[in-house]
Amino acid sequence: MAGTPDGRGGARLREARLAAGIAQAALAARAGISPSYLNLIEHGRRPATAPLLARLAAALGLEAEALAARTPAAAALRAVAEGRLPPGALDEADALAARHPRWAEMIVDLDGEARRHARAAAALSDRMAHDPVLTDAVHEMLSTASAVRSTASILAGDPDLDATWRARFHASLDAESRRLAAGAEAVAARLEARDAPEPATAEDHAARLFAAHRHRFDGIEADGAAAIPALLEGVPQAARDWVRLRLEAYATDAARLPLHRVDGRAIPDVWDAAGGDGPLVLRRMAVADPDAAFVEVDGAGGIVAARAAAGFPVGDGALCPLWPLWEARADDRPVEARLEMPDGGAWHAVAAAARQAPAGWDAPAPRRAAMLARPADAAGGRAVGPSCPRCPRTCAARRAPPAAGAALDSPPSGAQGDPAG
Amino acid sequence: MTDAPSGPEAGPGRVLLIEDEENIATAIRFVLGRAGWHVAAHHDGTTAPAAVARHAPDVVVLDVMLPGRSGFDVLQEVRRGPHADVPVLMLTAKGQAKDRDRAMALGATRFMTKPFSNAELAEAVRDLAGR
Repeated sequence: MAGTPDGRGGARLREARLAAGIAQAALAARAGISPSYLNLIEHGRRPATAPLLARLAAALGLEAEALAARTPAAAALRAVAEGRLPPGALDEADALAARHPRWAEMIVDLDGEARRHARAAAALSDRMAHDPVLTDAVHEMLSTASAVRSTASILAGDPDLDATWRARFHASLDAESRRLAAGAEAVAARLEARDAPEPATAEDHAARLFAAHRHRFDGIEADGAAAIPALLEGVPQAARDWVRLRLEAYATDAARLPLHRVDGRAIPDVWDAAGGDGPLVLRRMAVADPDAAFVEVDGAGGIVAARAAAGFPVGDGALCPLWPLWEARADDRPVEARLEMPDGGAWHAVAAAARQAPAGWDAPAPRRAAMLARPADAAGGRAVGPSCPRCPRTCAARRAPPAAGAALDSPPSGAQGDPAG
Repeated sequence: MTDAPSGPEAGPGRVLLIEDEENIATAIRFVLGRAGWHVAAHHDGTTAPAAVARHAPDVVVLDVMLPGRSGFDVLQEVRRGPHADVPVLMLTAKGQAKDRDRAMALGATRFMTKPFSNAELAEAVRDLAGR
């Protein structure tokens, strides 16, 4: 059925017709079909045969290939080029993907690699800015440099300095220069250690432990909280309290909703067993399904648990404002949606929110929202992506990135005309 | 060395230096003392507001990072005390905008980041005393 518009091919036909400024009725008449049939084709509800497609293309002054359904490779290539090339050049992606599929694949891969590196660099930069060890070491060095500068300046500026003062300032210089050398070594050691990413916070240790177990602790599933001490053995002392809390929360979930009541069942069947606690259902569904992506946020939208899947990034830089998660969080109701990622991958997502009972009179009622996404069979659905500054798509809900973000993420061309500030 | 004064008694005025780094304090005392200031040094944050009350200085040179209480806390308390109007020059190694903004919001008269030059420091103290 190559050349037959599916949902997206129909959309391409409609785009081409609108671009040519031809009314639906006029094009239908030129192609010898009824306007209502053309309408069905444009909306992907009827297929068009190859000869009909050729007639429609001819009526629009195009090659039939131009209306062929876009392959996933071409869609991915277009996503890479959007924002980098002028809109007119985007159509060349289809030809490139068709004629040079391996080159097209390589361009998409390189783009993915560049984005991963940019995310890693941003995360590293953020960590360095907030690294208490590095901050203290830099403070120490600046303080020492200050002592050296003031003391050396006195010695250099006053050749007739009293011998007692001179001896005192020389001793100061000696002590401070040693401190400066030790500080520089400490900073260098800290920076070198960063070549291998090491957990910096207690939550980093928790995330590492959960990832190492693929987010499923069979010991806790079998024995409950009794299995926790053994899991904490490799965790540094300073991080243990926090990691224990995370594991205890897992054990509570496991006791409330054992995996045998989740495995292989549909979400509505599990819903009642969980007393309508949607985030609990989705957390347990995620434990049962190692291929699923999962994200849970608190009432303020901050991520409290995240698990990415191949083709479904989750976490910093991957917060699409169109995710069903935000609808569920806003409306306190379950939301189900079919999602299409920029690479053409399709996902089935379910999101739900729940408010916990307040811990006491006048205490806040914590709120959580969770989303589970699993690979779906074919493309299509709500177009989502990573967060707006990184997303290759353009959509009505796009939130414009700040000027600095635009400068980092986009090529500088076209920015010259923007008024500063 | 705590509270040990230096310089001639009949100088342009009194400076209270609140700085815990001994070698920096020594250098600053020397520089200001030679410019004629009577300098008292104090090394601890917790008792710094009381030192301000005791010395009634014309200018306070105050480090942000102090043992006991931070320079920000000390500044806040000084601004609420009997010598609320004393000019305060804040010193910090963290020359970040947020530190400067915080110091200014709490009532610092001027802000200087380490490392600074001796001439800069002496000039800043002279300016503050002449206000």
